[in-house]
Amino acid sequence: MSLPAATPSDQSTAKLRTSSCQHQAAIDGLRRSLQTALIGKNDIVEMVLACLLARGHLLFDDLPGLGKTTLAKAVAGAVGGDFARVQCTPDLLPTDITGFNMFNQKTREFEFRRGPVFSDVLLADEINRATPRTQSALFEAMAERQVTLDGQTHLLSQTFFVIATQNPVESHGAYPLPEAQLDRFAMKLRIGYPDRRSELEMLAANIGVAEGVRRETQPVITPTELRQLQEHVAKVAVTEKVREYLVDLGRATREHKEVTLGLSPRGLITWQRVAQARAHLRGRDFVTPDDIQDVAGPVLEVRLAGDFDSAQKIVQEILASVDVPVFR
Amino acid sequence: MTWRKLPACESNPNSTNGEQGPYPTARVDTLLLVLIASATWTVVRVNAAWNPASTAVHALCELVITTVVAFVLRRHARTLPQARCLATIAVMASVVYPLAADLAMRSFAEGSEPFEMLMLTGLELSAVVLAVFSHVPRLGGAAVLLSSFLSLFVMTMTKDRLALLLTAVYGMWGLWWLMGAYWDRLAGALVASQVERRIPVRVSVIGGTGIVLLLLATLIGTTGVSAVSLHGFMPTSGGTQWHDSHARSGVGDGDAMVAAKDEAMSFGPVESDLFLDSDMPTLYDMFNDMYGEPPKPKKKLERNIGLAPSEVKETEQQIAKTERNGREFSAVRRNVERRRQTLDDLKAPAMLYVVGRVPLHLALERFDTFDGRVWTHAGATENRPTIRLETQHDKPWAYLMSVGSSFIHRGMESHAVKIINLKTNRFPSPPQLTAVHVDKVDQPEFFGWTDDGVACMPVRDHIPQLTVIHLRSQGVNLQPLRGASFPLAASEQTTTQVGSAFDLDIDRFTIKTFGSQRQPPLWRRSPVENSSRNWQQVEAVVEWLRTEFVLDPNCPAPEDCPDVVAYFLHAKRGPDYLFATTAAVLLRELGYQTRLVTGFYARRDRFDRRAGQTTVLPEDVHVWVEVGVDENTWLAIEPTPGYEPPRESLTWRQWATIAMRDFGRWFVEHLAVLVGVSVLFVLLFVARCVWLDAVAVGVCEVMGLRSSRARLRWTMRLLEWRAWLAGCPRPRRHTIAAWYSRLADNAPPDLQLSMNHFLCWADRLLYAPTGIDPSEDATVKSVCRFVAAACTRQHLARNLCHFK
Repeated sequence: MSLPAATPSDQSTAKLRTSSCQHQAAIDGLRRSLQTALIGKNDIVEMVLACLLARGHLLFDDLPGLGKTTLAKAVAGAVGGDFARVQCTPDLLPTDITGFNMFNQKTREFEFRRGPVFSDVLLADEINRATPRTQSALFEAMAERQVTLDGQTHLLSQTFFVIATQNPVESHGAYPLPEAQLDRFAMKLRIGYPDRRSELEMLAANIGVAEGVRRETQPVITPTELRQLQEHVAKVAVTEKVREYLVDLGRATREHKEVTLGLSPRGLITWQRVAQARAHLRGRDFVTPDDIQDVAGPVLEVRLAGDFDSAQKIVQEILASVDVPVFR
Repeated sequence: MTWRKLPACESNPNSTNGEQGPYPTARVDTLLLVLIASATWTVVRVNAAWNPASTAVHALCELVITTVVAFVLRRHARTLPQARCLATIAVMASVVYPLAADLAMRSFAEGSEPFEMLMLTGLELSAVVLAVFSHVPRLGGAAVLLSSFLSLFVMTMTKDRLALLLTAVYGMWGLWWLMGAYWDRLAGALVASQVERRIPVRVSVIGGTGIVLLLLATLIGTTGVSAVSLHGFMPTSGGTQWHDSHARSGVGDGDAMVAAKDEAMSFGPVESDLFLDSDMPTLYDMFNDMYGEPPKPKKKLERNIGLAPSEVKETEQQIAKTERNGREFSAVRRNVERRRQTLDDLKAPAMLYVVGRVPLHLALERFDTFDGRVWTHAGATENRPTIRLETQHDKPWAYLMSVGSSFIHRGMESHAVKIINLKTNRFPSPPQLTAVHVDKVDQPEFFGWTDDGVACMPVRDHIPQLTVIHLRSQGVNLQPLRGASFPLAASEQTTTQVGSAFDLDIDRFTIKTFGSQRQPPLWRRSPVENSSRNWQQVEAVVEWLRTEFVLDPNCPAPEDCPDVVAYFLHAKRGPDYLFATTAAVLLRELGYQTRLVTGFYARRDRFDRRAGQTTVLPEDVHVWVEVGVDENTWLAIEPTPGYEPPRESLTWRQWATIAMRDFGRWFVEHLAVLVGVSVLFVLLFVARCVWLDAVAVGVCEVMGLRSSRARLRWTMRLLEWRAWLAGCPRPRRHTIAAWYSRLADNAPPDLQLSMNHFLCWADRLLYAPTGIDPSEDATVKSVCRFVAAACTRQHLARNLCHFK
């Protein structure tokens, strides 16, 4: 069996793959930077990138010590913007996050002291330890990228990106996030333990590095470039056939017998945005059902509520219940 | 355009696309409600059908198929607009289907239903379709509305208890449904606050319909074509001369007549008090028309003085009259041109109608004495059973014999005979006639026997025209006769074995009356010479005649023939009376008692399905034979080919044995064809993947000639088809790229590269708005050919089946 004479060359393959990708170098730089910070978790890195390009917010739901904070710092470092971290505790107040007006004795006026939300990347560590009042302080910031205090609205960074973490095993003294706030996250990820080879590589990389020494991540792109990249991703084509598929999946989440709270229209829009980012990361300028399926788990797991043990199983059942559009 | 408040269902945040329905859990309820109405309608439909069994099967099949098709369509409806569109198409098909199917049935086969039944069937199927789509709220409501109309119609059409019971169940269940819908709507109204701009559906539909009707009325009324346009639109509405033979009722009498109760203005073959007289042909007239007249004695005519032409006719009529009085049946006749003039003048050419199982032999006259040319009746009065009158269900029944009086009797059979143009006082009698019922006739003297043993109305010259006679006859099972020594031949019987009356008359039915001087006996010419002396021997004689001789109505015996039996055995062809005569004589020579029977043969092919009866015409006169097996039991046999023998009442075991024997015979006769077809099918099945794949490749090549896009699309279809053939079809949740990318695993580099390109193009073709770059057409076609050639079924099975 021999290849026919008119077989497409590698160049045309590259054209197919990257026809609409004008920021491939920036994406590759981000990808390498995150892969260096989180060894052996390329699929997680791809999801984080998709979430970042889709202008979504990220929730890590995993055990301590698996690299959540490291990854968040790496994202902040790679984007090159301001990074802020909030360690959530029960005594944390909303103003500790948003900022507050302080009376200046000298000028006899109130001055606004910015909180950590006025950064490009905010890491809210162990967010489920904050009280619901404090958690809700993030609502407006996450959804509308602005903060309103004493009747005055303060705009946040256009690339404002929240990475929150929560520990699923320690429920004592924790306040589970309400559904309304969960819906504001684009996806929820579980990093999980690395494989053996990755752990060996990790150990080797830490030889000769003193404990507590801070490793800085060099910026790959500027916040302005990230903003342009996000705008470009938002233009990735989604044909009607694929949109119908997405809507059918959304309806399937509402009709599933074990799901009490299905996908909201906001969640559907988020799912499409993340799928667009996923397609762009794969070098395509159009979304396929594969992109939608790939991001279905992280996007749905943060939203679906119901009496079930395994959200992954529910997601698989939902995906299996809808035919992929092929020839119709 | 108006602003209106959204109903609760459309503002339900949990609903899909905002339209979950006024009663979201009502889908099963709605379907059940409609099915109850459908069952009620089916009961009425089956009761009104001419053929209840086939109609029941038909209705059930319609219901099941409609439900299944509707569910399949619903399954393919991705969105609510799609569901509405598919439901609309399905409803239109449901309305059109009964009319189209009935039209086809009327054109190509028997079986039809009245128009209003078809319309209601369309209503029923539409309701079922809408019920299946009842997850769309308005369609669910429409389904319930249609089913309620259906139930309403059913209540006005029937008094059947089952239908009324089902209607009551429908009412109760409907009440439950309404309560649920009400409470749901009430709860939803509390949160309904949105408004939406919409076209008012009800006003639009009702107004549009009204406008169309107004336009039609104006158009038809002003042009004066109303009589033509509305001519017979509703068969049961009446008022026009148009009629539908399938109508259940109406203004005209139609094909199904009913008895008048007051002030009857017409009469027909129904049970009523009217008895009218008319000029009707006798059985002899019909035999003369059918077979020709018996020859006249030449010497008498030669010695007479020539008569005027007008007097010749009178003479012929007198001869016929003489024959009637003498009760003869001549087996020697000469062909004449059949006289139909008198019959053509009749409005209905039928002699009588038979309701019940056909074919059927209806005896009118019996002959016991034969002189070689003419059958006559000796005129001896036999000891006939006493006729007793019994009332059953307020109907007088005259019992001619006891039920189960013979060991071969098994089961009962009922027929009704409607006298139309037959002039006789004898009851057309099926074999083993047991009881007779004529409406209102409850006097014993109206029933009696003729000399030749036919039940009759002795007090009348003829049974009035249009009289309906109900007949009960006993079935016979001949199996006991086949095994026993039979019959009691004249030489073998003793006085103690049979009744005295039978002893006295037995000679009239044996060969001694005419054939004892003939040498050698006739039966020695037949192959039944060595058969055992029982019913099987009778059947052997009959079978010999039916298979070795040819029915030829135009081959009568010569007028100077002294022995018609000898002539017939030599000629091996002739009309049915020669078959019967020969069979009777042969059996008499073998020692059996026989007699010749004339009457009618109700043919199977004259069955009028719409009227539910069989028409018996003058040309259906027939001659057959009866064989006596005991004192009062004479079994009819049919020696003439082309006429079905009288039916035997079989046990289930006998029926199964015969069926298996017939099947075995058919199987042996068609063994070669069956083996050939079986081998062909086996080969096709074994090689199914090969030829199905070849067909798919051919289709792909042909369809791919149009463009590179078509080539790419049909190559994808080819892969899908091959995967199905290989037993690893693409799961419904996988895309083309995700599933078939596995084909590149462990594949040669060139296939990996081609597969990679092929799947990229497939994704772009299926999901990208821009499609394939035209500059790549040649490459696309080349890669598609390469993939189609490389990805064989075996390759697909190797790479995909373990992922299932």
